[in-house]
Amino acid sequence: MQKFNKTSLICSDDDAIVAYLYGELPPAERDAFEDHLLVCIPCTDEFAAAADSRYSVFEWKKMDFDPLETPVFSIPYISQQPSYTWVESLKGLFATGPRLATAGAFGLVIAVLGFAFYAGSFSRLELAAIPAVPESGLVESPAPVPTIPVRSQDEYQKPISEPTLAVVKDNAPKKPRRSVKAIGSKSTVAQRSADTVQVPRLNDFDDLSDESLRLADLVSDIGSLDD
Amino acid sequence: MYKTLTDEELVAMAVSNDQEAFGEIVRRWERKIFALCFGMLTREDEARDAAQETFIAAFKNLKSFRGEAKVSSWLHRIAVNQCLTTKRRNRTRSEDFLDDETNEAERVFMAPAHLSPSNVTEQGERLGLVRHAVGSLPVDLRQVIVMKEFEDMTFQEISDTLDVPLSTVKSRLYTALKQLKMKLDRLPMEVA
Repeated sequence: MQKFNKTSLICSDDDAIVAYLYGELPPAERDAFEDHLLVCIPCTDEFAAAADSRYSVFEWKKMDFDPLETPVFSIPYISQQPSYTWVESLKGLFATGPRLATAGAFGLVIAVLGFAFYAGSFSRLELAAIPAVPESGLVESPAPVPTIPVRSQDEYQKPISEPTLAVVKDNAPKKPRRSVKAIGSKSTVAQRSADTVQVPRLNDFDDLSDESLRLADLVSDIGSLDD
Repeated sequence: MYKTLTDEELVAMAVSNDQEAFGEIVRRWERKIFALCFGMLTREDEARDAAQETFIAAFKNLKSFRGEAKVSSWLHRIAVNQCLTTKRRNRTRSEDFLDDETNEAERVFMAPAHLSPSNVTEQGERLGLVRHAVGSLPVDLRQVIVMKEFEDMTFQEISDTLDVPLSTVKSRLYTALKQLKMKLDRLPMEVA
């Protein structure tokens, strides 16, 4: 860039035009620039154009902006304290440092393994505290075992001649009677082993010939008790 | 007490939840920030909203202010960003035509009473052209001319605020005035 030369027509610094326009040119340069404008038509035209633009903006500001009052700004003074969620807290925990995070993770793994080992040892101790069951069988049975009357072997081997049916004569209308079939043949009874305890089943006996299970006997027993 | 403190000291106090300190910052800069927003946006309501958003954003980002730049630079950057955001939003809405009509009515209403109706009309048209011309300048040029004309900042203050050399400020302002002149000479023919 070239400096002004009031004695010549060499134009120079465009910045000086705006500096002069806004009154920010030092006094010495201002005088030199004014002297230059007197002899430099291009610079005078440039300055006039800049001044015209500035006046337009100045006028616009004066008409539109200056009458305006400064608005009242309301600032929401919220707390600057940050609110942390649990996720952020967890992130913060691991963001404190990689070494601390690694140590924390390692400690967590150790704690989990230790708990698992302790739990396993405790369950083994509990099993050891239970008394062993003797191999010979149960020690004793506190509950009484119900006894079932067992018939003698001869009674089982005694052949049944023919079923006897009790005939009750009454005036009630006759219903079709269910045929009673004799079971427990001789061959079947003979096959039973002698050392096995045979528990009689109700269906294996003729209710008419089996006196031990007759209801009449029970009733008579109750009657004798009452006497 | 607060009036004797520097901007940087006030910001440091505001970071410590001193609301009065930030209130003093707002009082110091509200007119200049409003002027900057008005010059950038050329509309009062938008300038008011942008200035409001500027101070809210500044308050929310107090802790991000590291003191490397001046508070004035920091506020101006926030304000310019807010203005650009508003401009982009308005561009998408495409309401410029209706807005111009509204402002035209307001401008005529606000005109001085001593002017004749013909003068009012002529002056209103010219102000509309100026507003349109300034609004169409590139952002860096518009910012400089608004800071100079609306905020009455010196070249050195603009240089410090924008963090650019002093010569850059002057050349930008000169270029802005030159382009403005060209636009003002050309716009009436374009409108006609």
